[in-house]
Amino acid sequence: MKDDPIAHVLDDLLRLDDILACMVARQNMISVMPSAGTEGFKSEVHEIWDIIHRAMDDVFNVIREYSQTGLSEMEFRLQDYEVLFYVFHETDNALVAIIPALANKGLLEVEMENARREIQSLMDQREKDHLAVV
Amino acid sequence: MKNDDFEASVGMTRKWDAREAGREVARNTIRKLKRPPSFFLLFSTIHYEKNGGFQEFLDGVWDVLPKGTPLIGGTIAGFINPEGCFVRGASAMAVSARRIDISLGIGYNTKRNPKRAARECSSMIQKGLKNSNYPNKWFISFVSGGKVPSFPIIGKKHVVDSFIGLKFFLIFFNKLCSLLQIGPGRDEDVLEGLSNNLKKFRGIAGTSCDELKLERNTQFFMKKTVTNSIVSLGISSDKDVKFTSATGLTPSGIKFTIDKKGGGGYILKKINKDRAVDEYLKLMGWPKEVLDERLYRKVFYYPFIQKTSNRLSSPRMLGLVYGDEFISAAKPLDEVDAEIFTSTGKSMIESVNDLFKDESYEFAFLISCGTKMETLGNNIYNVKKILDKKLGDDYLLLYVGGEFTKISDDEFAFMYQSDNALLM
Repeated sequence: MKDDPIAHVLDDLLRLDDILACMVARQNMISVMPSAGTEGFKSEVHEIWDIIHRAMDDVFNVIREYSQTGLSEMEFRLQDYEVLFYVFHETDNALVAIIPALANKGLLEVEMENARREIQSLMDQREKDHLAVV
Repeated sequence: MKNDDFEASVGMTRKWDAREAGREVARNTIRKLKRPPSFFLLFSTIHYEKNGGFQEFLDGVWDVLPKGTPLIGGTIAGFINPEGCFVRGASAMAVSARRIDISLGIGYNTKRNPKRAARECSSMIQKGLKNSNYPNKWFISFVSGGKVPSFPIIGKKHVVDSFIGLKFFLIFFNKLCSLLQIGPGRDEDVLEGLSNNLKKFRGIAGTSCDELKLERNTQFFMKKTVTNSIVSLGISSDKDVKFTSATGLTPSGIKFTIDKKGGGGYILKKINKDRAVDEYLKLMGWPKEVLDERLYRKVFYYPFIQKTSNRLSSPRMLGLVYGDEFISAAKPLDEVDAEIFTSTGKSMIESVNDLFKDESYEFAFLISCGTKMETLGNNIYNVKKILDKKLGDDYLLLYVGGEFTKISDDEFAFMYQSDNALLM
């Protein structure tokens, strides 16, 4: 979706040097990519993308199980990378980002949180607009 | 914050383009003021370096700001204001007052000659305020922070294993850093010099930094971008303000003596009469493997404090590991006895509460250690909740590389891991 405002939020996040890739995803599905898709990911992630993508699906098993009981964040480290999952409130969707293992993760978490809040707000607005039409 | 005589306002931008960002932060900050600003404090994260450059950013600010407005500032790791918590963007604070005199000061080559930089800066401030008769005098300053050095063979690393010649190299470490203006910021030397020169002034200061990679930083002084500098505002006003400081640190019980230093006092060679790195690892109960390029994720959360007669404690951090010696980010004090301090996430958040005690204020300008933001991550929003409750819409908190507060001529300290406030 070319003009998806959620994609623009992801584009902003991807402009940070240490965000190597980001997306909104759920199990077995990537719901929203940044505007340039995987082509926009930093090049170093491409060779490890397949294995990370498979690992993500396993993590989403846990998110699906516990998101309704307040699970809000998950993360794992694989080789020289960390993958962060910021779960949207009471859904099994998450904002997912890949960062270098040596990155200043705490600072990146602040912008991940900002992106989660912004995307959550856009999702809530879509839901409201949809209900208004119905 | 508004009353007839004294107004303060805060604005920000999240634009990526440097020129547009400069215009927006200036516009958003001064539009709330009833009168033109008496001074303007400007802060941005490092991102404009690659998105147009800081000069373009500053030019954008001056597209909007009234000509001649006293302006200082610099790059920081992040900030909190009523609009949220951010590690990308820019924020500013403007003050407008009827009964106020302002003087600007700048000192250059802070890493090469910190005392001279402090003298240059404080002389300008004193000269500018010499005819001012208001009872309250204070300064706000920003100084260039440390930069992880890059040397041939060694490269740009936080942890360097021993090799033949390293000890010989370390003899010249201080001189090389001074010449090339890299390595420890010497920010504490500059700020303590400034403080000593400005008797009867109180003040608050921060160390300019990047996104805590400690590779580069920039300061702003009127229409110029500078580096390796101290930039200051001297303020003389009939408005009384308060300066406070808190750390949220607790003693760990792990104590040591500093027995041998080198490199102008920055290199810890021996502690507890043993090789510094080996003994530190033994005291902390850490294996040698923890000392890797993720060094800052560990040592920054265990600052050490040396006992002094000054009522403000002064936490210091270990910055680099070269062989079996530590290079401290700030020069340890002359006192021999030291203790490791720690904090929890909870104490880091609640430390901000300690700045206010039970009093209420109309406006706060706060400076806190960037490692707090790095540690707390998205839990930094809990700090924002405290600030929103205490101050409503009127505050700006900066996360910087090092902090300095002067409450009186006898109570001042350069610190890490601290929260500091100028309260109005």
